[in-house]
Amino acid sequence: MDNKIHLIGNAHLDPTWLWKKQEGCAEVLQTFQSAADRLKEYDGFVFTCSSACYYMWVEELKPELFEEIKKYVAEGRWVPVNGWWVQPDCNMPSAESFARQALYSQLYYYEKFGIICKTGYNVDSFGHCAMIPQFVKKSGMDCYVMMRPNKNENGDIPQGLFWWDSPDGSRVLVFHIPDTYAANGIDDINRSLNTIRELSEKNDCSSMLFYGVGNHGGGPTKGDIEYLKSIISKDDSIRFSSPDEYFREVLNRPLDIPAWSEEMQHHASGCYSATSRIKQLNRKAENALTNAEKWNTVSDALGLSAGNTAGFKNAWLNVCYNQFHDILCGCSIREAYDDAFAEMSSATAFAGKARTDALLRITDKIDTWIDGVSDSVSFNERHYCNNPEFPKPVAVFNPLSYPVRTAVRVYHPSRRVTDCDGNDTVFSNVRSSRSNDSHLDTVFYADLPPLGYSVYWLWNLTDSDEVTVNSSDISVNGLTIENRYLKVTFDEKTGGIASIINKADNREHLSRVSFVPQIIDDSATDTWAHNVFKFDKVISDADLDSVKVVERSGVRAVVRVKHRYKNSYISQDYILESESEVIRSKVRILWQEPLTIVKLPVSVQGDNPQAAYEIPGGFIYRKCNGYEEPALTWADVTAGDCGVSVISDAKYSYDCKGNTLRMTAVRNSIFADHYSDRPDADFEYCDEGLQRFEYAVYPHAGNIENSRVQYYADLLNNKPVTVPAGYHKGEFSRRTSFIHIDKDNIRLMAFKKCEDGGAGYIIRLAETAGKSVKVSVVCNIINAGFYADFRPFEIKTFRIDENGYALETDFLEGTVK
Amino acid sequence: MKKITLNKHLYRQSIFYSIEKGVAPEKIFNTVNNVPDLSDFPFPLPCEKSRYCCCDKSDNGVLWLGSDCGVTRIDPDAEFDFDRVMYFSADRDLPDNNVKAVAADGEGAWVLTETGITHIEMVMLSPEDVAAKLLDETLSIVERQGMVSQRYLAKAGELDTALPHANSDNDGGFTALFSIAEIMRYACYKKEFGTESEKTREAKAVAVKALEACLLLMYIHGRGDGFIARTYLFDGEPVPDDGFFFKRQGNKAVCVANSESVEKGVVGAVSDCSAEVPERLRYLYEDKGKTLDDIIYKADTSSDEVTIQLLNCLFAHKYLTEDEPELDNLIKESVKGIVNHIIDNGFVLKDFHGGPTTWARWDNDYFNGQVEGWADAPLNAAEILFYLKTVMEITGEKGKWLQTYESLINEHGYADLTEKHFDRLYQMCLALGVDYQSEIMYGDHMLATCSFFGLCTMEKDEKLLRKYRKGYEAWRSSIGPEHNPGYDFLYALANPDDDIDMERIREWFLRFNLSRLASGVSLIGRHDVAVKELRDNYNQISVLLPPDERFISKYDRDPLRYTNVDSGGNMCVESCFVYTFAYWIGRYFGFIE
Repeated sequence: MDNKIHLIGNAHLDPTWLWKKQEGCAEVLQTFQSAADRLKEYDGFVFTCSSACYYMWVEELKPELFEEIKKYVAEGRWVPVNGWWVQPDCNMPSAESFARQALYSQLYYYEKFGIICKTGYNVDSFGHCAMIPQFVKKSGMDCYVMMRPNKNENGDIPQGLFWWDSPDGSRVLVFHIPDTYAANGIDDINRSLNTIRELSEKNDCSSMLFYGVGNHGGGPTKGDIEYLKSIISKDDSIRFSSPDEYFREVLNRPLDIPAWSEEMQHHASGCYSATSRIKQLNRKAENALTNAEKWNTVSDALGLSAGNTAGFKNAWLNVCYNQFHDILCGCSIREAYDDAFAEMSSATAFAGKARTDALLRITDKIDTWIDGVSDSVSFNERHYCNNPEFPKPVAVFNPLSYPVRTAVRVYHPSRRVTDCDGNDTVFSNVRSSRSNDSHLDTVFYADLPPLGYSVYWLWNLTDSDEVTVNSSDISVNGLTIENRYLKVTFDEKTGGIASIINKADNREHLSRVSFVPQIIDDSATDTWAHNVFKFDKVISDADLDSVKVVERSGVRAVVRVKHRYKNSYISQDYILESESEVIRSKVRILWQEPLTIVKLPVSVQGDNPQAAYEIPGGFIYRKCNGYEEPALTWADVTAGDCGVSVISDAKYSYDCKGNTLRMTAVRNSIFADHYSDRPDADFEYCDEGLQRFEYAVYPHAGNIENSRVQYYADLLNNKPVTVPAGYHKGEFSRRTSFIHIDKDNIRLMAFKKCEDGGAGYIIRLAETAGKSVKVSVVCNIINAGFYADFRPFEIKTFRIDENGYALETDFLEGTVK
Repeated sequence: MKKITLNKHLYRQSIFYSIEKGVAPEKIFNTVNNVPDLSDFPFPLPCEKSRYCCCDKSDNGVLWLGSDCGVTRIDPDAEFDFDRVMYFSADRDLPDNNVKAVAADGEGAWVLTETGITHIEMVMLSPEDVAAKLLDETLSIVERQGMVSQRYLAKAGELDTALPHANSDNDGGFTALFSIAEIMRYACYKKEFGTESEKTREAKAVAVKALEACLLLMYIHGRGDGFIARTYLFDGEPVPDDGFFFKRQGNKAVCVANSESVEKGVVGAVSDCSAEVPERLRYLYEDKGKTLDDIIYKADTSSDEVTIQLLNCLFAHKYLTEDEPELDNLIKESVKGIVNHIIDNGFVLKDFHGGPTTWARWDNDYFNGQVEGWADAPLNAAEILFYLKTVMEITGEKGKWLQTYESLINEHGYADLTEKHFDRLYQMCLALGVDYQSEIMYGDHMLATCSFFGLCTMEKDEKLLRKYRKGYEAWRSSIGPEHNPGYDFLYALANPDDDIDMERIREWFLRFNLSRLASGVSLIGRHDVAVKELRDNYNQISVLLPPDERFISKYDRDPLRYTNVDSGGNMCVESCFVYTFAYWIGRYFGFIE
C-alpha cells in the first residue's frame, strides 16, 4: 500500500499548569506569532492548533495577528482543530459541559473563520471516557486524535488508526499517537519518524507525526522545518499536512482497522482526586449554571424577563476553561488555582443571581393571597409575614425533570406546615446552623412536580404554641435508625455502619462494617500518580472519637460520628429522612496529613460483584480489581442482586476490589509534584485544610439499570430551592410543572434559549439507564410537545421554534449550516 | 425468550362518503366549537393546539378533536401509551385535513371535512384476524399466478380500480417472503390443530402455491443452468420500462425493447430457453390458458432474489414438505441448480450476455474492485456462505458444497468479511461527506436478516458462529430502530442473548393497517414529531411512529423518512407479507402468545 506520513506542525499549549493563566496567555500570543512567521517563510508548511480560547485571546489582544491567521485558515495552511474551548479533562466534566465546550467553540470558529473544526483533538488529556465519540460527533466532528494512555499503560487500545464506538452508537475515526505530540530537534524527530514508519508498516496505513515545541507552547522551529524539508525532498511519501488532511486521505482508501468500544484509561489515576476544591467547584458550577439557565428560560418563556444567553455563555466559558486537563485534574501549581477558584466561583455566583432573579419573578406571579391578610396592623406582621393567624407562603422549586419528594429547609421554626391544598405535611423543627434567636429551622417534606414548584404554608411558632406532631416512618433505637425503606445500624466500636437492611428485599446489604475512614500512604507517588493505578497501602483506619444520635424527629434521624487521625478529624452527620431510600452523610474534614489519602469503604453482601460508575452521559461497568477509577456523581458495587451505590456532590474518584467499593475523599499530594526529588522545603499540599461535602448511600435490590441511583444522584446534586413569598394575587397557580417527560430514564440536561439569538428554545435530553426508549416530551410554556426515540445513553438536542415545532439538532443547535 | 400476549385490539378503518344529508348523523352538521382547554395537556398533540376547532366525546370518555390538520383521538384511559393519542389524516384516513365537525359514534366517529364525510370505524380484532383480513385482500387483489408483490391501481386509493395485470418487476423476493409467511401459518396450524383440520389444509394450499410460484421463476426462463428470473409477464401485458425482458419463442428468448434495453443496446439479444419447466409447476400459467410462448421473463436478477428464495426453500424444506416428497425433491434440485450456477460461474449469477448480472456478485474481484463491491462485500460474503450452508442443510450433501464453504472461509476470508458491514458503509459515508442514515439501503436489511439468521442457526462451529453473530450485530444499528418484528424475531432466534424491545413490537402489531392500500398520511407538518435534517435534503423524524400513522411500503424503505407517501407512489396496493411474515414467525417460535 502507498502509505504516507503526514507531518503535523503544532504547538501543544498548556495555558495553565506549571505557570499561571497570564503566562499561558502570553505564550499563546508568542506561539501564534511564531507560527504565522513560519507560514510566511516556508511555502508548504502547515500549522495545526487546537482550542478556541487561544484564538479568542489573540483576537482580543493582537487583532492584526488574528487577521493574518484568518487569511492562513482560509488558505488551509493554518488548521484549527478540536471544536472545544480547551483540551479538557475527558472524564470529569458533565455531558452538558462537553456540549458547551462545543457550542461556544464551534460557533466561534464558524463566526470568525466560516468553518467548524472537523477533528477532535485532545492529545494531552489523561484518559477518555467511553462517551467521547458521541460528544465528538455531536460537536460536528468525525475524527479524533489522542495520545494517553500510551501502550505501556494500556496495551489493549489500538495504536494508530481505529474506529471508536460509544454505547449510543456514535462512531469516530481515531488516531492514537504512538509516541509524542511534540517531536522537536533532529534526534527527536528521527526517533519519532522511525516509530511512525514502523506503525505505518505494521498497520499498513498512513500515519501522522506530530512535531513542534510543546507544553509551554513554541511550535515548529526553523530548524525543525528545514530538517523536515530536507527529508521531504528525498521521500515523497512524507508531507507537511494537518489532521484534517490525514483523515481525508485515509478515508479514501479501503481501511481494515480495528474497532474499539470501551473507554481509554488509565494514565494519571491520581488526577481524579487531587485538589478536591477545584473538583467541587466544577460540580457546583456545572449544576448551578444548568439549573439557573432552566429557570432563566422558564422566566423568558413566561414573558417575565429576557433570556440571558450572553451572560450564561460568559459564565460557562469560565467553567470550560477551568476544565482544562491540568487544572481540573488538580496538577497545576498552587498559585494557578487562585485564578481557577475565582473563575469557577464567579460562574457559580452568576448562576446564583440568575436563578434568584428568575425564581423571584416567577414567585411574584403566584397567587399567595389570603383574604384578610392586609388587615394586619403591625409592621412586624405585615412586613415579615409574622401574623400567627396567617401562614407564610414558601414556593419550593424543583430544577429536575423528575417529580421529587424530599425534605427541604427554611430558616425559621414552624408550628405546622401545610401544602398547596391545605393538607398537613410532615415537618420538624431542627437545630439551625446559627446560635441566634430560636436556634431552629423548619425541615418539611415537599412533593414537587418536574421542573416546577409547589407552594407550602408555614405557620409561625410562638412561645405558647403547641407544635403539630405528624406521624412518620422514622424511628430510633439505640444506634439503629430506620424508616419505611431502610434500617441502618452503627457500630459503637468503630463508628462505621454495621448494617443496612433494605426493606424492599429485607436483606442485609453489607458484608462488613463500612464507611470507617481508611488512611492510605501516598508518599511513593506524584500528583498524577504516574505508573501507579491502585492506592492500596493502608496505614490504618481512623480512630473513633464519638458516635451518637443527635436528632430524632418526624422528618429525620441524625447520627453524628467523629473520627480522628493524628492532627486531623473527620466528622459525619448521617441523616436518614422519612420516606427516603438513601442515607445521607454531611461530611466535614479538617486534613493536615501530607502524602496521604482518605478513603471511605463500603462492602456489599453477595457473590460475583460488579462495579458500575457514572461517566459523562451514562455509566460503565469496570473490573473489581482495585484500580482507581474516575466517576461522576456515583459509583456502585452490586453482588448478585444486592447493590450499594455511593453518591457524592463533590468527588470523582473510587476504587473497587472484590465486594468493597471505596470513595476517595482526600488526596493530599504536593502541588504539581512530578516525582520530584522533594527538596527539603515547606511544601503546600493540595487537599490541606477544611472541606465540606455530602455523600449518600443507596442500597438497592437488583441491578443498577433498574435502580433509582440516577434519581438520587441528581437530587443530591440539584436540591430544591425554597423561596419565601409575600402575599400577593397572581396569575400562576400554587403548583405548576413546566415540563412533562413520561420516562424516568430521560433527563433534561438543558433548557435554554438558542445561542444564535433567534426566538427559539433548546431542549436537551439524555437517556440515563442504558436502555432504548420512546419518550414523550411536553413543554407547554413554549407550545412544544413531541415524541422521540433514544438509544442507550443517547443525548438529543431539540430546537423549538416560535410555534413549538421541534427540530432535532446537535450541540451546535442548528446554527451551523 | 421474551414473549408478548397480543389480545384483541381496536384497529382503525375509514369509509368515505360524499357530503350529503342522511349519510351521517344530523348532529355533525350542527356542531358547535366546544374544544376543551388544552393548554396544560401533558402529552404531545399532532396539531398545534390553536388549530383545533371542534370536539366530541364518546360515552366511554374518548375525545375526538377536529382541526384544519386532521383528527386527533384522545383516550385518557388507554391501556397502552401508544394508544393514548392517535392521529387521523389525509389521504388514508380522511379525504382532506380541513375538519369542520366531528361526532363520536361508539368506538369510532363521523368526521365532516371540506370535501367529504368519513366514518372512522375502530374495529375490534385479534392480530390473527388482521393477518386473515390482509391475506384475503392480497389473494383477491394482489396475487397473480401465485406471485404477490403489489398490484397497480388505475385510481389512487381505490381498490376496485386494480389493473387486470401487475407490472411489478421484482416478484421473486417479495413472493418468497409471502411464501415463508404462509409456510409458517401452515406450521402453526399444523402444530395447533393437526394436519387434517380445514384451516391447516387451506393454509397449506396457499403456501404450496406461493412456493411453487417461486420455484417456477427458477425454470421459466428455460436456460436450464440454475438461473432465477426476477419475474414474468404474459404476452400482451405492458412491459415495464426498466430491466431486461425476454420474450420466449420456441427454443429462443429475445430481449424486447424498453428504455433500458434500448439504452444498453441489448434489444434483440438472444438467450437459449430449451430447458423444460417441471411438470408440477406448469399449471401456474397453463391454468390461465397460456403456454411458454406467451411468457416474457425478466433477467438481470439481483442477489436479493437469490437470497430470499433460498431462505424460502429452507423454510419450505423444514416446515412444509415433510409429507410432500415430490415437492421436497424439487426444492433440492432447484437449490442445487442455483448454487451450482454460482460456483461454476466464478461466484456470479451469469446472464444472457455471458457476464454477471448487475447486482449478483459474490466474487473477490467484485469485493476488491469498485467502491460498491467493497462496501457490499460483507453482506455478499454472508449471502454466499448462507447459500452453501442452505444447500447442505436441505440436501444433506457435503462434498462440493462443504469444500467451497471451507475454501471461501479459509482461503478467502469470507467469514471475517461478514463482520465488516458497518465499518465499510460508515467509512464510505465519511469519505463522501454524507450522513450514514441517508446511505442505508433499507432493502438490504432483509437480505442481511435472511443470511445471518440462516448462518447463525445452521452453523455449529463456535468460532464461526461468533463471527456470524458479530456480523449480524453490525447491522443492528440500522435494523434495530425499525422495531420491525419480522427482523427482530429472526435476530432473537439467532442471538438468544440479545434483547429486542417487545413493547415496541406490541405497538407494531396492534397499530397495523387493515389494508395495504398505498395511500399516504400527513406526516409533514405534524407538530408532535421532531424533524432531523440530514444532508442532501434527506430528512427523518426522531421517533418511529406506529404503522397506521406512516406511509405504507414494503420492507425496503426507511420508516423514519419524513415524507407523506412512499417514493413508489400511491397508485398501488401492496401485499400482506410485511405483516404476515412477522406474525406467523412470531407465533410459531413462541414470541407471540
